[in-house]
Amino acid sequence: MKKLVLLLSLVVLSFVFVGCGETTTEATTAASTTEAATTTEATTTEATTAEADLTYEIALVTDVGNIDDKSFNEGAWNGVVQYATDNDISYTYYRPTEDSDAARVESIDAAIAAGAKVVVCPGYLFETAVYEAQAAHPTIAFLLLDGEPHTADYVTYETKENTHNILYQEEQAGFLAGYAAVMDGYRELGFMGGMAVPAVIRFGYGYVQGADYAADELGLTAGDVNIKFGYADAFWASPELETKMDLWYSGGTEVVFAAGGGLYLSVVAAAENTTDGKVIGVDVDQVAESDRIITSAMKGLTSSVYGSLSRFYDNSMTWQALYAGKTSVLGAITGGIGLPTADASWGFDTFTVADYDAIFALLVDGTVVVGTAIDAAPTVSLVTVEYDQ
Amino acid sequence: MLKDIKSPQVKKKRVISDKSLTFISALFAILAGLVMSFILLYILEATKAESNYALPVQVFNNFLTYAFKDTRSIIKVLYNAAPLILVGLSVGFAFKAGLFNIGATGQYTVAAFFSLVAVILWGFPWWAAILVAMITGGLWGFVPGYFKAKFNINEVITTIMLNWVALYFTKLLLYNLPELRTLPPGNRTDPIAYHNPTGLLPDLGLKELTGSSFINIGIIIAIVVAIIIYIVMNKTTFGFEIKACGHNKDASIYAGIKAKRTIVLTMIISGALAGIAGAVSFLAGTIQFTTDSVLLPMGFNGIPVALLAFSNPLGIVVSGVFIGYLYVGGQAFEGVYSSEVTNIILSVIIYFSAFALIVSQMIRRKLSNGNDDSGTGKGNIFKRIKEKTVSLFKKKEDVVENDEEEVTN
Amino acid sequence: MENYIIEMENIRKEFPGVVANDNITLRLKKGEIHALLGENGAGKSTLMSVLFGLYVPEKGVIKKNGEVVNIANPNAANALGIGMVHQHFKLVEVFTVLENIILGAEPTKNGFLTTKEARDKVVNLSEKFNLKVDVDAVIEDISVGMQQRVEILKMLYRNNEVLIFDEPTAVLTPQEIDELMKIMKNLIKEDKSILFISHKLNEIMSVCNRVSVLRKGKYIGTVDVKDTTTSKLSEMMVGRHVEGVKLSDVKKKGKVVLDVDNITVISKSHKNNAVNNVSFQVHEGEILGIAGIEGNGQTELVYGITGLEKISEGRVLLDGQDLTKKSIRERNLMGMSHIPEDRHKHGLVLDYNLANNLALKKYFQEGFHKRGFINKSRVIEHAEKLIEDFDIRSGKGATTPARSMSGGNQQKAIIAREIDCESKLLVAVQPTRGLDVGAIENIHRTLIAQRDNDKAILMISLELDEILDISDRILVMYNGEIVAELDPKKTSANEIGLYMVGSKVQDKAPKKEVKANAKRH
Repeated sequence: MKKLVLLLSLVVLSFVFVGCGETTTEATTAASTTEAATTTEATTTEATTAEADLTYEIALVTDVGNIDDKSFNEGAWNGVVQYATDNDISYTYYRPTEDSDAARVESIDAAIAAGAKVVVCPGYLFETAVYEAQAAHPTIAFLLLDGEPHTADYVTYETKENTHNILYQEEQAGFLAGYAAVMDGYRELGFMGGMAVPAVIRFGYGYVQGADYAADELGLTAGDVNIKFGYADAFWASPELETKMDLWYSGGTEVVFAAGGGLYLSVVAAAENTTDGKVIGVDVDQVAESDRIITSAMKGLTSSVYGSLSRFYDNSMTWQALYAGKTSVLGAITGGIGLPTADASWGFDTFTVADYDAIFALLVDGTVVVGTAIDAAPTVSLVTVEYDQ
Repeated sequence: MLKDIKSPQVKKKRVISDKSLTFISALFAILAGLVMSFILLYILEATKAESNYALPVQVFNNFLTYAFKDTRSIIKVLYNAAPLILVGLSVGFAFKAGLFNIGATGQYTVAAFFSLVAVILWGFPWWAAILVAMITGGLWGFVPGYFKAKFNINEVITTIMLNWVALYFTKLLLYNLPELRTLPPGNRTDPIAYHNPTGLLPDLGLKELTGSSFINIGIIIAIVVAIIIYIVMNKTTFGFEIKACGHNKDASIYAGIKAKRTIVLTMIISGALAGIAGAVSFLAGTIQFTTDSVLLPMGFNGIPVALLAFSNPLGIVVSGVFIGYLYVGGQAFEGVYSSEVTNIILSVIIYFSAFALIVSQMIRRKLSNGNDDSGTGKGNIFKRIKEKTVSLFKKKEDVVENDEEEVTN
Repeated sequence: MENYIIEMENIRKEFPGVVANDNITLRLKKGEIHALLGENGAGKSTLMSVLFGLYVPEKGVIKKNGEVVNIANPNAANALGIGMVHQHFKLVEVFTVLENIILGAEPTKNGFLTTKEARDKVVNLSEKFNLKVDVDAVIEDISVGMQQRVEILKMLYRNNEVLIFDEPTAVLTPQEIDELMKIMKNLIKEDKSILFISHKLNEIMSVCNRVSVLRKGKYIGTVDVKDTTTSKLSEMMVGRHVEGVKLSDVKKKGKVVLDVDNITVISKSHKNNAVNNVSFQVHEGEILGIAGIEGNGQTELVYGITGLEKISEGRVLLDGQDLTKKSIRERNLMGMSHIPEDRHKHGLVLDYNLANNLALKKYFQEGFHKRGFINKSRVIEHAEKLIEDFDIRSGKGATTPARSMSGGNQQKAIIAREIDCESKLLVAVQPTRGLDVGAIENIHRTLIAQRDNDKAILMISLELDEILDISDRILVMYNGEIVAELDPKKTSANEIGLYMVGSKVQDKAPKKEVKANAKRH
């Protein structure tokens, strides 16, 4: 028994020493493995034993996912990290203990108790929580992405002065993705959304409209372009989804728009089971995740969070009149959406960046208007859409 | 349990009573978990570029005291504890009968769903919804119980499978019951409060008073149920039969106990308990039932709760509150450490808690004064393991001594 | 200085709370058969396990040919030429004899198994020592005696020179025992040395050179067999003078209590019926003993009678009432008590305390509960009465966990519970299995008292001595059938043995030993 204890303490000690060694020599490996999330904002570079300051000025509360979802939460989180590190402001994130409004409110409260001055809330799930929190904490600023505060019964919508909402015109991003795919020669398309929530539906319906628009422009006949349209009912990967995607790809689908958090993993895996199945990413530029990703229908999450935070701090930590209690709808005009045009992210063969700029300009000047309705499928003339269920 | 000890001279002989032994070993297990998790936290800190060794101490301290921070935290502990206790009772009750109900999750899910159906669609009050949950949970427990009794199919397999059946069955129903779902996204059930306030567990007016939406009578229900189970287990012929079956099924059959009937009944009751847990969780009006394709973790949390309490119903109340306390404490890590760290720390403590049984066996071996010659089963294995380990160390010592001798020579 | 091949000096082995071996010294001469005698729990197996490397002793040294050796594990023991035949054979049932013999010492060439040489070696050994085996037979098809020969060959194949036999005769018929004795004598002629563990005095007297006696973990002494007698040995073993239990005169047969009418029980382990068309009757005031080798249907017969298993054909009548379709509890209430074969599997809930175990067949009866709530004080009272009446000894009285009681007292508790039911019929299966001499005596007396009290007793035992000693009538079971009915006064162990292996059948043509010749499938 004694030996065991001795052994154990040796192991522990060795860890401690290794740790010290790394910190004193400022080993880069250690730095890279450090959780980006958990910066303690310590300004010293050596190991210290000083009383730690456990207050964080910018806080992000996640909805049900985590900050590494390669998608929504991560996009917003990156905006927080960038702005905070650029300006040397303390920041952190919180994950609610359960998927409920009460828990989200609790996390917001915890963030504020830990010194948060501005709380970033990504996702429509925060609508009710922010509705409550903005009233309970009038001196704290809230940035709500993808939603507008309302009561749980959807009767009262109210955005107070300390809150700023950002909505994205996902339908435009979807439109561009669908347009680009068809213009590039794809005819068998697929759309796999996470859950039938408004943002995802807009992505999907925009995608359908974009494909239809391209078909018309190319002078195709009805039925030339087919779209399979479905929801995974989850924002993460699953073997069932991969099987379903296998069926799609083996059934002739050439490219699938994976619109929903981590579920792209299943879609990419299925695509990689085929010789040339392709995937369209979502929210952020996901090209780094797989060479099968030809493009991504991006929302400018990172940039809009970064921009909002900088405007907030520049205006002595209050929302400017333009934003206070207001909702910004970010689309092509404000650069809130788009496809990545960097060479590395451009997976198209015949569809060029110039073509993209052209259609983007049409969206900006209003020549092309993408329907925003989500309660009914968009009317299309040329593409055939096969809806699940 | 130990009330039946009559002879006084017997008591004097005991070095340590079974009850305090279990208590001590549970404490040991928890302590080991805390120490281990702290060491882990320390190591994590050490691997950082900018280690601040005060941080883990500070955060760990916060972790332990977080639950006593204010009334709302204490309320949250009880809120967490209520379903944990009930699920723990479900698992523990089955344990006592020698069954491993790993399907508490499925029973919990189905029952939770139907309690919501009862409240939202049928306008039932909360207590009627709990009854519905008991029936559906019991039904979900009956199936593996029946298969076990009739065809001797291992309940672990059937309950695991039924977990998935429960998950997709409720999902399917939720899709096909649009009246149950919220307005636009429609991926979760409608909040009960705006639908049928009588369906919410009563909060006795304390919600207003405390300002916490986590307060309700769930914890009272859990404690009452625990007491009932305790009485059934320890005072009735039915409990006698269940425990006999659990300890030794063959002997129970030999003694004329209808073991098959007992197994089925046990599983029904176990399922019903998980069912109450489901109702208590969801009728709190906080979480909503979603269409997510993941098994609800609450059902599995019952396993460590039961293990830590040696399946003793009253012990489960304590261990349920303890684990509820840990979860609340875990919030102290939020912000400072990543949420993964929180989960690791909690898991380590809970993991070690589940070792309470082994700790008690170790203590028992140490204390046993040698009239154990039954020679079969576990005892023997433990003896052998100990034998082996002891000899292992012995050998090493010998080697070391020899080495020293050589050096001195 | 004598020529000792193995010397175990001052061995001390402790288990938590128990000193299993307390300062024991054992010296084995080269070329002798040395018996290790002691009751169950005397420390024989522990001592041998130390020698075989399964346990490491706290104190003491082991010498081989005068040199101190360190035996850390069975492999080390093997390397030193020490082999052991365990009481429960360590054979792979689905392997052939040859495969089992070479298992763990497989001859290989370039990583492939080469059995040719091994086969020759095994065949040679089996001829040299007269160990008849069919090297290609599968273990599960061959008789217990042959399995034991396989175990012996295993040791010889590994060139072991010190052979430990752990209670080798427990599983054998009288004929097989004679055969084994011959084999052992052959072995010492070839310079092997044998340690023979037993508690059967006559065997020791007939084959061994010297005998060392252990009692309660302590070393009592070593004597030359030629200088001693069975009664002296038995006194050394038990620590006091022992007298056997004998039946009083046969009383006049009473009326039939148990009537087993042509019953058949299907086997769970093989295709044939475990019990095939068996009929017999047990009368008031009679002990009917059923003898047979393990696995010939006795267990299933008992299961059929007591209701633990369904019978596929026939009827069982108790006092004229048909109970074929009755549940176990109904049978108990109709007047059937059952001392089960395996007291740990069936007889006791080991994790229950003594009081609860004693109430196992009473708790549901009036007085023991009130509207489903158990009357604990009544349970304790009941237990205390039985503890008193049957002299059940335990550390904490009624609240002692059954697990912590000694085997003899566990068995006493079961017998107390069963007799307390005041049943007309007592089915006693191996009532003295694994118990020491004192306990056996005690239990035999109790059974006889029951018989004298006009109860009907059906006793099934593998111990021929027990059957011969206390039965009024003997049935022999072989292959699921009753092959003989004998009068204990007019028969002998040898005669019963012939019936037990099926080489003799009353009123029927003799059958061959099918099992041994069974072909591989």
